Amino acid sequence: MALGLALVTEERKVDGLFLPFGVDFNIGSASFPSLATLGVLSPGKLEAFAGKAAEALRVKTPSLASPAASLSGGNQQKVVLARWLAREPRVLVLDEPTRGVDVGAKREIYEIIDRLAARGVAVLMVSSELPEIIGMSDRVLVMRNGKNAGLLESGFTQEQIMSLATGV
Amino acid sequence: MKIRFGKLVSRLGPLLGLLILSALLAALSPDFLTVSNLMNILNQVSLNGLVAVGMTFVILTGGIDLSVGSILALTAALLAAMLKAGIPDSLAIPATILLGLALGMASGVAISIFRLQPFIVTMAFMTIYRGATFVFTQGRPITGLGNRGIFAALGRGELGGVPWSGLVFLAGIGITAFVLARTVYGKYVYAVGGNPEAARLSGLAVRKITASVYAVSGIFAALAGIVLTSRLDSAQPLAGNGYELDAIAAVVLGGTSLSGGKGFMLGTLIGAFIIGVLNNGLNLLEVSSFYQQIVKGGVILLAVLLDRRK
Repeated sequence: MALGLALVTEERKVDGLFLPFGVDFNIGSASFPSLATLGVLSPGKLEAFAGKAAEALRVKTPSLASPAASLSGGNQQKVVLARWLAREPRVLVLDEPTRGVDVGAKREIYEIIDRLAARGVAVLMVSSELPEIIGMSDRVLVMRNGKNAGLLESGFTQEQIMSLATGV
Repeated sequence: MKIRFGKLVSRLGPLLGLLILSALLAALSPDFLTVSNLMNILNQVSLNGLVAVGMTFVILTGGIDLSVGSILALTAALLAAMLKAGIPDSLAIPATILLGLALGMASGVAISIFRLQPFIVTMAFMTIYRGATFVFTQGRPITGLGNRGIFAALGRGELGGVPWSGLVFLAGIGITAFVLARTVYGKYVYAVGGNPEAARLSGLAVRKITASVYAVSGIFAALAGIVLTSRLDSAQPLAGNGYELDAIAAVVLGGTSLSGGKGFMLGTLIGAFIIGVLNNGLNLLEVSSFYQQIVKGGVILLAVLLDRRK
């Protein structure tokens, strides 16, 4: 983390979010020390910090104090993204970032990733959805049974990826 | 709006219970609602209350600390020995608190480094420390500690009619409530209890935080040991026996969840008072202590059931 590496895991409900806690807590969880003076949090700071991050990603939530569990899948994912983006990572690892996310929020997440990449952040996305891979990637590394099956540079097609993935 | 209301009820539930219980006792016994009896309750509550403050930290991380009663006894015995050896109380008291920290930390380190069950580890240390207390005291109480300033005041003194032990307890509640609600460390305690894996992936030192809450619990057990030693003017080898259960009961009655991540220090204040008021009221009503235990157990069960329904 100190190196500017951030990981968004596949199972956001299991190991990403603090479900019963507020959106503000979830966004701030990796940044508490930077919001405190001598270990004491000033009440307004977390709110302002989380509010700014939530607004930047257009997280739809009744309030910053609402529990993360009450949000839709897409907004939950945006909360996890907001947590890491607020730390301005240089490398972002996303594991199935759009699983269980509705179509509208999916597009928003793609836009966020594009914006990050344009800003020079290295994004490593793990995905099993072909249209997503083809639409988003600059380069694709296909894995089969945990082994490297081939690296594709620009102009890859669904067929190419599938043949490497299945070995046919 | 609905969520807010639910939250309000879950915070106020224990307080409501305490008020109903108090109103009932006030109606049943004319001696209940007198200043001297209320101060007596505060004095009685402070021992269990101090232990429960430390226990709240542990339970918020989803752990449990069964060793508190034995830590209380061992620190009390060492404090008494220090005082008898002529060490001034201004030195002996801080040393006792540090000792409590170290004894609690031992459980914390075993739990976090070796990834062991808190229940088993603290049960083992409960037995170890109790045995160590018997070895150290030869199974006999250490008495005749003398009437020294701070030490004597902690268990027997008053400030404007309010017992010092109660003030120490209330100060402990105030400070720890602030720590939990407003400091980075407090947020980390909730984070570890709420979701340890998410906490680890957020870059938190989960093991250190886990170990630390047992040290906090040890500190408060030692504080209770100091108060009790002063009150009895002696250290008893069996002191604090069973205190862990009353402390856990106070924390749970205060609305803190045993599964971790959910709860408040002010709830523990109320929980400790529910137990204290219950004990006091049953005594005033001259209910036999045998029945008192049955009633206390029943109240705890009822509280947990009510908490469940929400």
